[in-house]
Amino acid sequence: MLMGVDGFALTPTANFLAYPKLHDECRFPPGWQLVARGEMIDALVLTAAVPDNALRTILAHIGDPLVPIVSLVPDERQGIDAGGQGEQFAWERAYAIQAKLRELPGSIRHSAEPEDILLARVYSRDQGLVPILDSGARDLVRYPVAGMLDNVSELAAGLDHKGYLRRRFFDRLFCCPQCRSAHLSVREECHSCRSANITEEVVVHHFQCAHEAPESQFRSHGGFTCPKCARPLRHIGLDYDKPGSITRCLECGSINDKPAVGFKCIDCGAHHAPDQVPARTWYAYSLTAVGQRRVLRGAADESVPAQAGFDRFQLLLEHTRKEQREFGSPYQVANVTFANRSVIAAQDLRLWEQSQQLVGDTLHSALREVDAVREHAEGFLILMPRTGPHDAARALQLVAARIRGVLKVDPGFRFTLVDDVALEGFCSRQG
Amino acid sequence: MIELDAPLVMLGQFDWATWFSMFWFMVLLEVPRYTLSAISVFAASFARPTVPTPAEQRYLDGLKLSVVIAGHNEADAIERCLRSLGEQTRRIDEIIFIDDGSTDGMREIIHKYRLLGQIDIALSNQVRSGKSASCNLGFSLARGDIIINLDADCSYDCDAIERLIEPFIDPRVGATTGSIGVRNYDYSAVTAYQAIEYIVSIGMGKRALDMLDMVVCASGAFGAFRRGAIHQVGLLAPGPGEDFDLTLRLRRCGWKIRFAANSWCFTDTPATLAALVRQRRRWDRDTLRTRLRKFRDTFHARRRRFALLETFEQCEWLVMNGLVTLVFPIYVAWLFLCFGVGALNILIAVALVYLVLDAIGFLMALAICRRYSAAMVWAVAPYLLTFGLYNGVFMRCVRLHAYGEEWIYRASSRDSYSPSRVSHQAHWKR
Repeated sequence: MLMGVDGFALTPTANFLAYPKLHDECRFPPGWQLVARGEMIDALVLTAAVPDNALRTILAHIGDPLVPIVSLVPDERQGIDAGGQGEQFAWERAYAIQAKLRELPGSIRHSAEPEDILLARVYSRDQGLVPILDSGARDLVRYPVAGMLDNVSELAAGLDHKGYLRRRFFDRLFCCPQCRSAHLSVREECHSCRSANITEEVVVHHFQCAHEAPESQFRSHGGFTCPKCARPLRHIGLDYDKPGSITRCLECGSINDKPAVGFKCIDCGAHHAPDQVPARTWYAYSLTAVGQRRVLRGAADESVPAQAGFDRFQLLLEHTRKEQREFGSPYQVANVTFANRSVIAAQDLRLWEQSQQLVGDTLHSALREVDAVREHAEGFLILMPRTGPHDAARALQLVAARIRGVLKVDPGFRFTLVDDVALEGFCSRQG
Repeated sequence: MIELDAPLVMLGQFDWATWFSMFWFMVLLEVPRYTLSAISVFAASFARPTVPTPAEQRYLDGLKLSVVIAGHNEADAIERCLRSLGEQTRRIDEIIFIDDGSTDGMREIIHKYRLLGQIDIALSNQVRSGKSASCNLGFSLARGDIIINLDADCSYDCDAIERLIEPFIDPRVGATTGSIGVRNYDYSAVTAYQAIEYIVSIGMGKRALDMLDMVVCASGAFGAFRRGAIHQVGLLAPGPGEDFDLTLRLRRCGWKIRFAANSWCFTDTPATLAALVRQRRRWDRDTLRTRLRKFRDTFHARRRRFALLETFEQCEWLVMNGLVTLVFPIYVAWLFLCFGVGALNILIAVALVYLVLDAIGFLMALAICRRYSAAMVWAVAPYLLTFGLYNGVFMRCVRLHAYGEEWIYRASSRDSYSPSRVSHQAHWKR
């Protein structure tokens, strides 16, 4: 029985595929037409709880990554655009998505490029690429709007870099350095053997004889008796107090003040110390005006600088080159790398991440406003307009000294001044 | 105005009887004790040092060592202490650090070193419990055969631990203590005087006591204890003076206490006169309380575990320390009563004799110890000229004051060394 769907009407007829099948008593809104498998469809309507593999099979059969999927029963799985909010909502949602999809040019609507698909899905779902926490996801985070696309966060980061999406912080989650799963069990454990089989015990101090020991040594029949002087301990604050506690490992017998914290990966079983566990930052994304134009026109808008992050460096580089050609002003581009990167990262990945961030901040504060910094996989590129090679080397030596003063570890700061040919090759590799 | 050569002229004019009538205090009470012990120690120092046999060395190597360090607000000292422990020639099986309710970040620092693997057990009292209780917690958790009690503000020679445990070859030995030197000897005149005092008392005094089996204090800053022995006597009693008290109890139970003269620890002594007086008053009060109150039954010949050596040791202290301190002001008053202003000449003459004795004792101690650098000797040597005044007059007055306040007011039970809630219960509630 379809309730309350008489309030809207569809102008063009839309085809939908009901899966597994439309029940006899089920009605669908006017303007929708049930079609058989194999025909072109505008929406997939799930009428019952469908197994994952069946859903994947039917989606593969349909072959359209943008098609709206709505469920008439509660369903919160990845790729389901509406489920559990009522049948009317499901039909309205399917229609709204389909209407947005009709606005797309063919080059985007039928593109097989993951970036185009992601942009089109974000546009057609009209709600941004918002992550949600999901205990079923390996990363603990998923983007419902992204549908069945893989590597969504990487794709989104690329689109953000190009200026089509704008990111904002969502959450920062630890992940296993071995298998990258975020299914980590954070637990208190023994410092020595890393067993979680530990117990905490209060320490008792008997004032009169100065005996201080774990509480278990004082316990007697129904009360406390000092194991040293055999006096009963009756009154806390007068006879005795409890100044601290100890943690005892029931496996190896090791004793300490506080338990250690460890991370155990539920997926691969690996154990890691806290300083070895990297944190991954997750972002929510929204479509920018540039991204919207990209989606609606089907090609990059040449009049607008799309790659905002890259372009600042690139634009300054172009401008500096032009200045050199016209006025003979020298400029230098330095490639900064870190010799000890792999060693530090192997010992303490988080320390390296923090150090790298600190290096970036130090570079920005130490260099002039006219200089530009661009981060790359191995380090940083630094553009220094109106600077000769000697001045650049001196400035970079000062920067190196400042970095050594700021960082806890020596990252092995190295720099080389690169010429135009090497720079082009470098940019093309990084790009 | 006293003529400068008057004392010497006067000394030359006296016959033996007059000499004795004026200098009986020195002749009877001080010279025999110190000169005889000094000569015997000096003579013994020429004997060949004993080296453990291979079997004994195997026994020593098989001993498990636990180091227990308890401290309150000693965050700044920990690194130096751990660095010197890390350099030890003898393996240390376990280092236990107890932070006794510190407010200077000591807790975080010991946890940092535990994470670095330099400390095995790091525990903290949320509220201060006192040195005895903190050490007792460490002692009760220590698993070593020998438990070494150290102070966080001390540093140690690289072979200090190895030498400290050597006397445990003898199964009758329950505790050992090592030599303590002054690290900040050049900080002030007060520290220089203490450096001389330590040189003489460690180099001569403790060695003499060790020869007579009369070592009565295994220092809490640098002492090693056989695990079974300290558990037998019930660990440390409430302070202050807990190390002295523990040692006396060990001796009563028949354990020998040995002085490991070649095992060296260095510490910073009080740098101001006020701090020194405070420290010595506490030490002297504790000594009096422990000896004459807690262990007064040493003099009872009919007590269950009467030991002649213990009684002799107590008597020796009573005469050579307690009596000398009490008699000294009487002696000075007597001099002035009998000789008027001429007493000054006598006192100056006494000081001259002391100066000679001090210089000889100092040089003998240096020769016996062979541990002090020439720089240190040159730095403290000028203070020898007035060391007699410091040791023979000033410190004696401090001691007299401490004995008075302890005997009359039981001042040691109100000492801030332990938290008031603890000391009140420990000393007043019986």
